Amino acid sequence: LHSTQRQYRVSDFARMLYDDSLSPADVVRKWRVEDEKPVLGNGNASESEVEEDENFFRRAKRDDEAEDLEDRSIPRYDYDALARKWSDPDNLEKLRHRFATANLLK
Amino acid sequence: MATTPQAPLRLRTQRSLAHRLILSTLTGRAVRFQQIRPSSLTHTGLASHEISFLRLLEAVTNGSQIVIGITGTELLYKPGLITGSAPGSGASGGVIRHELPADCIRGVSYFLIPLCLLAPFSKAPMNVLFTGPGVITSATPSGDMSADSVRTAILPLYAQFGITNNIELRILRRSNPNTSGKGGAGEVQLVFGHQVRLPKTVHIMNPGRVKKIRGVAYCTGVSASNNARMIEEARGVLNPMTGDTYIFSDVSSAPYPTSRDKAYSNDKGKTGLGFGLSLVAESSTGSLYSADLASPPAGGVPPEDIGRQCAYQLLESISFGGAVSLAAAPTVLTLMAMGSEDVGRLQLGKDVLRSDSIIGLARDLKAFGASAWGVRESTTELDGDVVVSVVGRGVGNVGRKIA
Repeated sequence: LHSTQRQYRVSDFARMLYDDSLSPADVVRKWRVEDEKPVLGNGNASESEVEEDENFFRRAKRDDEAEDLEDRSIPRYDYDALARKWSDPDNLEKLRHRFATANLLK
Repeated sequence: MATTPQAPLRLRTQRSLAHRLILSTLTGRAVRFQQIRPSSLTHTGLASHEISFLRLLEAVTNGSQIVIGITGTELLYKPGLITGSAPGSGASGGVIRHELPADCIRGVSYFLIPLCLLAPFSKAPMNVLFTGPGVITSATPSGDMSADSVRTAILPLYAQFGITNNIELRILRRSNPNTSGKGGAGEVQLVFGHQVRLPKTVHIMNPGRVKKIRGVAYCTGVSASNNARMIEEARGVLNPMTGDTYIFSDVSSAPYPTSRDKAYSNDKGKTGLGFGLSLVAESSTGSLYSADLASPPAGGVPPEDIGRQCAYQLLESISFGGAVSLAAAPTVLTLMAMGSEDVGRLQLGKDVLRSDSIIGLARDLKAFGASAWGVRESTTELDGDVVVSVVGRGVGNVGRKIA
């Protein structure tokens, strides 16, 4: 509705946190940057219709698809992406303020 | 005490089953689970680690009722009193022996972290020995942290709630998962001797700055040079960030299953070979961030990769921000919700709050009768943090009071 709204507003999150019509994954997705773009109502509806048709003869879920219900204390990381992120000197420099060795006068 | 029996709370799927059972026990509210892996072709219903966790709950409580539906996809749990390792209730010599089955795929931390949440509210001290052919002390591919990280990153959190005395986790025998990813043959003892009526209300608002990094590199049944290689790579990543990095090296021989254990396992030889690394960063205000990675059960990953990836995981965890890391947040938030009727505050990173498990926890706590969290932007200079205010429930364990 309001496409100009600031991203990552905490008040939006607080509203969605206890909204049981949204699954936790939906809340996460809605609050992420890439989903901040306004979604057209029409496109959305036709998409779900197509999906419904495809789902009519759906096979049983495989085990690895249902695995997101298993709780993990360490999330799944894409280690290649992590390696790229943390070998970049810029990212390390941004993280440095979280370390006691940082120069506070900078 | 005449209380009107509440209808059991209805919950669906196996999501955070262990944590929900803990909440049920702490609040005294019966709970009915439905649709536990209903469409899985190979593992319908409750998994063996979940059954084992139910047995553990039965052992440390008195009067719990557990009814499992015929297909295993339904479960009714009526909590009893948390008795801990009191004499006369399954404990011999003050110790409860809990055997994990050989087909357990979860690390022992799957059992330890929830059990620690029950322990402060127990009637008698908690003293549980995890043994048997299913005890995996290392990190696992199913996302469990190692027992070392529980000791160094989870147990110290209880001190902030005024729970400090006589808490110990002894890793008596190490084990990695077997080549099939199921079972090991480790041994771990948890002693939790500090029982309180209510945990203190906490205001954890200052994450501080990371001042030191400690770690444990462990290997079981493989060459000790694996440890050195993991440590070398991890230090290579971490040294530019902080000078105070110290990683211990623990070399142990492969656990040899006892003749009793052998009856359950297929391979008669040594089990649980492998290596892994646990890293914990501590900040100037005592915030802890942990990272864990172990060699996959099938092998084939050099120790250099494990060391480097574990260090990257630690940096990622630190970059999430907040005073409590993602792995520790459920413990801290649950203790806050079980505290006295006062508002406690906790600074969390947005990426921590935004995870499925924390959103699920917020809803579960509300379903079990705790009040809703207040969430607002942090006012400190650290951007990207939020402050969660949690009102305690002020009851500790209902079951204990009725007794």
